[in-house]
Amino acid sequence: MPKRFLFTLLFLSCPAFAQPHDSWPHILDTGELRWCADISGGAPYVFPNEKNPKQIIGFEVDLMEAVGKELHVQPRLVLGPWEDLVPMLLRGDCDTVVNGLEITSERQKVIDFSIPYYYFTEQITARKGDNRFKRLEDLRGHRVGTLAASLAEDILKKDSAITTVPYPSPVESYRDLELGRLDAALFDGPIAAWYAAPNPNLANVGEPVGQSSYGAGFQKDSPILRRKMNEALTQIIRSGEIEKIYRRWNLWTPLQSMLSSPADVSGEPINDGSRLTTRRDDVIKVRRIQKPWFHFIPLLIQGAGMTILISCLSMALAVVGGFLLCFGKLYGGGPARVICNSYIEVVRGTPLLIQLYLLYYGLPNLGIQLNAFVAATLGMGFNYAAYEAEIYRAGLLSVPKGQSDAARSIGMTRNQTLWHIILPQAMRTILPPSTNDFIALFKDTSLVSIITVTELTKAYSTAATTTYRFLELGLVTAALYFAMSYPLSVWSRAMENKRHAAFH
Amino acid sequence: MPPFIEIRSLTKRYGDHLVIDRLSIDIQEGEMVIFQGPSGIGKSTFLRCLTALEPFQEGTIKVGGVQVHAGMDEDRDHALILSLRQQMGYVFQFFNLFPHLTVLENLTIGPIKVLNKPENEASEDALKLLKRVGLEQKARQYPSALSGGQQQRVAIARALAMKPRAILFDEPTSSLDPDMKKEIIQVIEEFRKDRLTMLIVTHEPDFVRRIASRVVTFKQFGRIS
Repeated sequence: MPKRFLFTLLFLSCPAFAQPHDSWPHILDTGELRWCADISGGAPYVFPNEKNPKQIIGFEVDLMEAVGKELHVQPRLVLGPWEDLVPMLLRGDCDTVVNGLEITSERQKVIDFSIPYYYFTEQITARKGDNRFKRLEDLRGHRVGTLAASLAEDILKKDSAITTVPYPSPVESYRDLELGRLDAALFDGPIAAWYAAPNPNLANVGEPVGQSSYGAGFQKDSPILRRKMNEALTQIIRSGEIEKIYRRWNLWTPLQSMLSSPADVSGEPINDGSRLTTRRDDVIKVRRIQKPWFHFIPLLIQGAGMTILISCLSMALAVVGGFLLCFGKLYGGGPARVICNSYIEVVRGTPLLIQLYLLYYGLPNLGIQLNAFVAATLGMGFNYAAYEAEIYRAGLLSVPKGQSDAARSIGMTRNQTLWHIILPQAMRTILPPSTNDFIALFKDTSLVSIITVTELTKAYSTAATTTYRFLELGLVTAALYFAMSYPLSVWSRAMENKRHAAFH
Repeated sequence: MPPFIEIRSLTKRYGDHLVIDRLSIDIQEGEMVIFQGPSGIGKSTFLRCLTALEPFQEGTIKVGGVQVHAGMDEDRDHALILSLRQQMGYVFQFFNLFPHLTVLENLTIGPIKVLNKPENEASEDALKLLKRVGLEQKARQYPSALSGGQQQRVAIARALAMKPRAILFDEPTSSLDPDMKKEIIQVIEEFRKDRLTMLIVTHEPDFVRRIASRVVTFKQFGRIS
């Protein structure tokens, strides 16, 4: 009995292996079609209703309602970060991805697509009055924001003269464009129409860049589900239902006439771009970067360099800040004590992520603009200073009072006592937890990717979402982190032993 | 000749708790005075007040012409406090050697940092002192490698390295076994030859009574007889 129970548990915990790839029978069983999407910065695709945030709306929500009606199943939304939607699909968290997923040949190596349900071009956005950018080439030599792991990012990255700055959602990117941290932004047409067009400080400029289409993504080898979905989409397109939906969202463009051209419902992979280029000669043929995964290792090493740089600078800041806070708390007068104590409590009591957001996106409201690297270093340093301060305080207090009595009795000043007698002894207590903190800081630098710094974790996520080699690149990334942190802990242990041997 | 140490109306309170009430005493240069009495009566507190390790509430202390009064601040009045402390070395019950420094460095750190002596001069003086306490071969060792008696001998040498005119002993033998107590008595006798003024606080006065010039008995509130 226990054996059978274990087996069942194993079976349940590995849905990817347990289920047949084609989940159509399962969908019929449950009456639910699980589709995944990201709602953060997700307008007009899938996003929370401003008037009632519990309600999720968007043109893809309407589309899936219509599909559900055709297929006589209930669509159920599964949420996840946009870069992770395909991995979620592969893991079996959902049956399909319907969230502005561009049909590209690189993705088709990993997943299958439905027929296109929306055609679009990429849109350049600049600050109002800035007329420099007419075409993609005009972006050379400029900082351009875009959505991480999107087709637009690939288009930009093909040209090494363009500095590409990937963001997790469009909102921050357009904000940085307004603030002058970016020169331009490149996003899918619907995003630019929704977020940039109504913004009085921004303008969508220049010719359309590239052309692609969105399709629903499925796990490979799910022919029935895919056929059913294609039939449903075809029906919605023919009946005019899709035009109604897109017009309701102000997304109907002349390009959408391509939807009703003979649809490919055979179940064969759809070739992106090429079919379209023959129809319109003026659009740039879009090809995904196709490189084997190990070609991304230099990118990872570059990211590791940034990780080391930010770690070392912010740790130096944390050590200096930590000592100042600690001395202020232990030896300062009333006001200094209150200030240092409040700082420590507030910083330790709020998440680092919020602090980074406030520094980078919040301070500009007060007219203080930090670039991403400076904000990341200050954010990490200020945060860890609070933790260091408490370690130093505990270390200083661990030195017996007799030591300062003895130092004072031979005439040392308080500063001399602290510097020559207390601190050297406290270091033994301080060093191990402080090194631990450094190792933790070092790994916490992965958080600064949210304010557009490309360190190791960000480099990994970029490489992995391009190649879908999450395992191989993940192991390389973990190995890089370990190679950097292990010497630290060895060093810390050696220091500890050395001091230990010396005087105890 | 005026007395070397003049204490007038010394009063020490911990909050509302009165420990020493208007204690006055004179001590001549070269005297060796033993302060005896039960534990917790305030003998050690008296000694700590004398060298300003402990703040006191009323009275004046005058040592070798340096006069300090109640309500001093360690930082603000450091020059005055330093000249007071330079008159008197201090030996603690639990030695309080600096564990991160070698025996030699324990002796030289004061002369180098406080008296600004050159390092080689400080080392030479320190080695001479170590020889007198019989520990010159331990100069490069850390205190943890020494026995209790040896540590206390180093502590005495450390106090003397500052060349004080008096030395204050706070229960110097209480944490030592009988053999080690003897080592300390020998060292104290050795330095008596220099006519060094000595104040010894102890609750077991018998071990030094025979070489003392005066025995003062502490009673409640610092009354003495």
